[in-house]
Amino acid sequence: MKPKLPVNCPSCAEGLNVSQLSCGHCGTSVAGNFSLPVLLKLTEEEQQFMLDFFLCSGSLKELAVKMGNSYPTVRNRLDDIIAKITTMNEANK
Amino acid sequence: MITPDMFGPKTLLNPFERYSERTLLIVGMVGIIMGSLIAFAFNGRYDGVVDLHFSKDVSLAQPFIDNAINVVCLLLPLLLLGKFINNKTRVIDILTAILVARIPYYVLPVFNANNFIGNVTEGIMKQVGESDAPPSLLAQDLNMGPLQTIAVIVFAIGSIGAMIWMIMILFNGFRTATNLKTIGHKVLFAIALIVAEVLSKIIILKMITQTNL
Repeated sequence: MKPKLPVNCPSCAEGLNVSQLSCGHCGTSVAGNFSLPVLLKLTEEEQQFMLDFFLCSGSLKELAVKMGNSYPTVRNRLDDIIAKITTMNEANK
Repeated sequence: MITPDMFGPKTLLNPFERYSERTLLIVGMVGIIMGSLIAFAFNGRYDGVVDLHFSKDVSLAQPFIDNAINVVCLLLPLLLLGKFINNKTRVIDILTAILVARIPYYVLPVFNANNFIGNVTEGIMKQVGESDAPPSLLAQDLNMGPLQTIAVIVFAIGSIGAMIWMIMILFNGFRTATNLKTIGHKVLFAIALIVAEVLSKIIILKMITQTNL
């Protein structure tokens, strides 16, 4: 099973930061307090949607065919993600 | 290819999430043609966006004109509202929502086989006109056989069901087309529907009285 990257605190639901990074090869660790990039703060489904959108060269029509959904359904999903990212960006300012 | 999934509750209530505008447009256009032909065959008049009445000797053109007026009367307020809610709203998505939503209504004229419902309702209206009884006691005085009573009840239930189904499909189509989310927008949708009903009623009544169509 591939573990999911937690992006929100399971206790208070606030966004999590990265406090440690380690090298899988030599075991070197870097500690600090790094905020997650915006795209990583999206849910796994939203990240997959954005990846699919990117792989379709940004064509919503092509993405709709690939996902088996209608064009407005896919466009609404994208609009919702844009609104979510805009809110997150404004909150980070 | 026809699959059982096509007749699932999701497809019957919200086909707009899944099917392309081309498929929906074809289904809607076939629906409007079939519905108009059914109305012609069973003397039905769609004299309003949520109306169906039966009259005598309906011509072939009348149901087609009624349906065209109803579609336009729904399209104008819903498109304006859709653009107000979300400027990315497309005409084709609103149009397909209207065309597909009207399909449940197109089955109803079948109830009027042999002018049955038309004759029953005409008989009721005649008795109401002739009766001196107060409205609260009028139902007791109506002279209706058990078959007629059952037919009227079944038709009434079918009509209410078709109206609810139509509004649910129309709302789901409009929601998908506009990405509608707030309660305020839902209220505006209801107002737009009432505007469409009033508009269509006025136009069709004027058409009937002025051109005898």
